[in-house]
Amino acid sequence: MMKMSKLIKLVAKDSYVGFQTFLMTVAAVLVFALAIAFKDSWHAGGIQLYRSLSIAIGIPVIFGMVLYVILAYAKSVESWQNAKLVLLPTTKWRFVLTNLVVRLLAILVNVTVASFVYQGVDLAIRSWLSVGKTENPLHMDWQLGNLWESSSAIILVFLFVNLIGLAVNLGIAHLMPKLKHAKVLVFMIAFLTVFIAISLGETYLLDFIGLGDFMMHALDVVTAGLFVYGIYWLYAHYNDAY
Amino acid sequence: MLEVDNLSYRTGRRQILKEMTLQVDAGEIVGVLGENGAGKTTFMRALAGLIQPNRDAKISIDHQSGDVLKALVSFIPNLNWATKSETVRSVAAFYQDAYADFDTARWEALRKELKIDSQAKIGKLSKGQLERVIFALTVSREASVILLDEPFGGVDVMTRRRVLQSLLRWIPEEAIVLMSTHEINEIESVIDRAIVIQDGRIIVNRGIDDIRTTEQMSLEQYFVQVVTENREGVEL
Amino acid sequence: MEFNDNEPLYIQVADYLESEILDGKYEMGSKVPSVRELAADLVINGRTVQNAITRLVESGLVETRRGLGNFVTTDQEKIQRIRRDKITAMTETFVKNSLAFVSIAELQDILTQVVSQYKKG
Repeated sequence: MMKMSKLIKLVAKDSYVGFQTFLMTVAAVLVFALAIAFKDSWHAGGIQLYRSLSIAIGIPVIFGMVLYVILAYAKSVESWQNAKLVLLPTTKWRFVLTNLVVRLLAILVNVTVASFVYQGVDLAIRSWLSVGKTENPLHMDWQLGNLWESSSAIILVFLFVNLIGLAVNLGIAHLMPKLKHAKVLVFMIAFLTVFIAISLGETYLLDFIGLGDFMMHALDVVTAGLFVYGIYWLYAHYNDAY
Repeated sequence: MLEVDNLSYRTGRRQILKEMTLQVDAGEIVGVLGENGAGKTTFMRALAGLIQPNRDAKISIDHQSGDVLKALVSFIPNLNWATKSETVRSVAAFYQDAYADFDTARWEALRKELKIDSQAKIGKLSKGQLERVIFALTVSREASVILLDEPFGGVDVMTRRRVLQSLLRWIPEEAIVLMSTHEINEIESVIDRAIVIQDGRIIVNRGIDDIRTTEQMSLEQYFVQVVTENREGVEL
Repeated sequence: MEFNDNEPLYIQVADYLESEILDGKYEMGSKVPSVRELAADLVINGRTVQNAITRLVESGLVETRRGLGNFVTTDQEKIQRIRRDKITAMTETFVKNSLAFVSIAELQDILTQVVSQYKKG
């Protein structure tokens, strides 16, 4: 059986397939937007120029990050049925855990790096144009703390998307092959349905039963565990890779 | 030794594989024959671990079963995962990296024998060239069981011959080869044993010498006879 | 190598190899290619080729030298004998089949005629 370090490396490599193309596309849009911003506001200078540039950079970056996360999640869901990965000489549990952890970390790292780079660029432009921090029209003043506070939500959503995605893919493959072309739609319906159900359940627990913070965190951990087990169960018993 | 016991597979309402039982000794080359849709590919996918058969199926290689089989079975169903601009070399690099039993020297030799250009882009390969790449990569692993699913559907007869020659030249002595094909005449002299799959069942499992001596006909003729006899419903 | 459906394949391979040797393609005492090479060249299963070689070893045409491989015999007499046996077998079959059409006297005539043609030319 292959070493864990190798498995991690191969899954990480796979998660970056297409990343370069994606970055180049965003960069192209960015350059285009910057060109327009410069052309429009160059003569104005100062705050006006800063505002233009912020929007020209900020909007592609925001859209890029959201798009990236969506694409990365989709890629993660599809990876369960990727024969190249499924046939790797490792145990099912190792593969499930590695695939989840490595992909999630890659997403978090990329998003964090992107936000740092954006902040750095923003700072550079502001000091070049001598503009204060509060002038950013998009109010993109992220703190690292924000990201970390919502980490449990991010992890749960990631696991949830993988679970529902895999369930939808396998459900269609085994039970309703005709729906193959509508799988995104089926996924969105399934996702929303289960999401609403879980949210209602949580609200009930939080408001009516009045569970404290600790219990809610414990519940999060249990939920995460159940999601992971669900993914493993589907993968180990019903997978159909090609 | 490969032992398969009571292997069944159902997806949705369709029972694709039905109680397949088979035993293959080390070193045997087995021809897997069957009409389109009979279950040959599904059978191989089950052996490789791409799909999960019924709970009481038993698949073991040298008395080992479970996840370890992935290290003992060499199967490449396709190269769909490779991006169009990826080269043959980079694809080979993946297999070299992922599998400790990948024999680089063998891969290079096979590559030359089968005239595979390592700089060629996967997206630009013809069907036949792609098949040769898959064949060479699959056989380059020092595995206990080598699965080849129609390894020469898209190549001309001279290339088929070359592929078979490469197989005979490079396959490890103890390796089990399961090879499905429609070119029954051409593999007849190469295989030790033939199994015929029809409607998800193994309806024939005999040594090739036994078939030739007892039936006094070519393998292809025997195949047609057996499939016709076993066919349910109206013959066209 | 073409093969038919009637005889066991290993016998056909043995006969083919025997012809090659008697034809002089493999000289006396020379090394016969390994089973694997022969299998690849002829596109024939390795075990079948091994059985064919064994058959030739049994007839004395080929010798196995441990660790070194298979070699054509250097025994001139043996080769002569095998050659003669082969032709005798072919002739017996031919004579037997011919006697369905002609008498033995006629056959002898025909044989003498054909042989003298070859002697001249």
